[in-house]
Amino acid sequence: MENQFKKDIKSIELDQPSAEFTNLVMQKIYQDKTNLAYKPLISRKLLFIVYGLYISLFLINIVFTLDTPPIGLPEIYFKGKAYFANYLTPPVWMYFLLTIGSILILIDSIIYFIKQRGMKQHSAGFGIQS
Amino acid sequence: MHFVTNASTIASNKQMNKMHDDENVLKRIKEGHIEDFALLVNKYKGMAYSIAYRITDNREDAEEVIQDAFLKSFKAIKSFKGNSKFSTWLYRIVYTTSISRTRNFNRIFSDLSNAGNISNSNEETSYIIEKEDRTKYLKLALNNLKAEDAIVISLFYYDEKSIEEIGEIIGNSNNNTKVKLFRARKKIEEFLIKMLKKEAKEII
Repeated sequence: MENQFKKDIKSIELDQPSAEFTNLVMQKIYQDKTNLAYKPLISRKLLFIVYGLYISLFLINIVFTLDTPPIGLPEIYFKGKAYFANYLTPPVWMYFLLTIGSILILIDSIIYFIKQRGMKQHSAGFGIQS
Repeated sequence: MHFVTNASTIASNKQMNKMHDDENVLKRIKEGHIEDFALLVNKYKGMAYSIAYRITDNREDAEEVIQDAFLKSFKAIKSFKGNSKFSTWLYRIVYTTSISRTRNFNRIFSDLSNAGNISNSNEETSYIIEKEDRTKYLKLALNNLKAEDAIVISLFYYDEKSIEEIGEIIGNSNNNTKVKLFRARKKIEEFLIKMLKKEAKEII
């Protein structure tokens, strides 16, 4: 009778989740994985700030190499130029460090995008828009 | 020379094969073949849903619960050492996630048996019970159990889990699990006897 009972229990059809259930789970997994696929070593926000300053100083430096002001009042221009020369010109070693840093960040970003692309290609099989 | 293999050896071989299948799939997932996780989802979603549905008593909640459970199991897969079967580990996650989600604790732990309210269908059942009817009445009986008891019965008979594995899933000792299983069977018997009188013997 125990065997019969077991057979009868096994013949009860289990309730099933929706037909799309497996795809939904895999989509969520791929979404999570894409976000965490490769954490860049350096925070992107920090990079924006540092490089923003770097590029701004660099451009200002270029402007102040001119003998005559491109726009604006000459007085303000020459005062600004003097101030920049005394206090704001980054030392050479900083340019060197920032250049090395740029190369490392470029490599970091390339790896990040390659991994993300890889994740998106896998996820296409589960109906996730890439 | 011939080899004799008895039924229990065949059954345990099947279990071993199942485990090896899961082991291989888990190994591939850990190596980065994430898409293979879909195989495990397809294989275990039925019983996982059944456990969650018995506790939450709501289709949407049950589906949410098992979705969460599968995601949790995926995230923790690297730390899964294989000391127990994957299914046991997964069902444990489903069970605990369901408990934490449910609003109705009475359903899980209180006796919902309302066999006394079911009309005495003796007149309708004076025939040999066909297989479909047996399934129907058993399903009714299972639905009449408290959720935890129904889960124990399902895991033992449907999923062929051992007492130890069931104990691991529901967080009980082996002895408590055995007692739960025995009592659940008893309740099914009582329910069926009340419903079917002498025809109940055909099922139990």
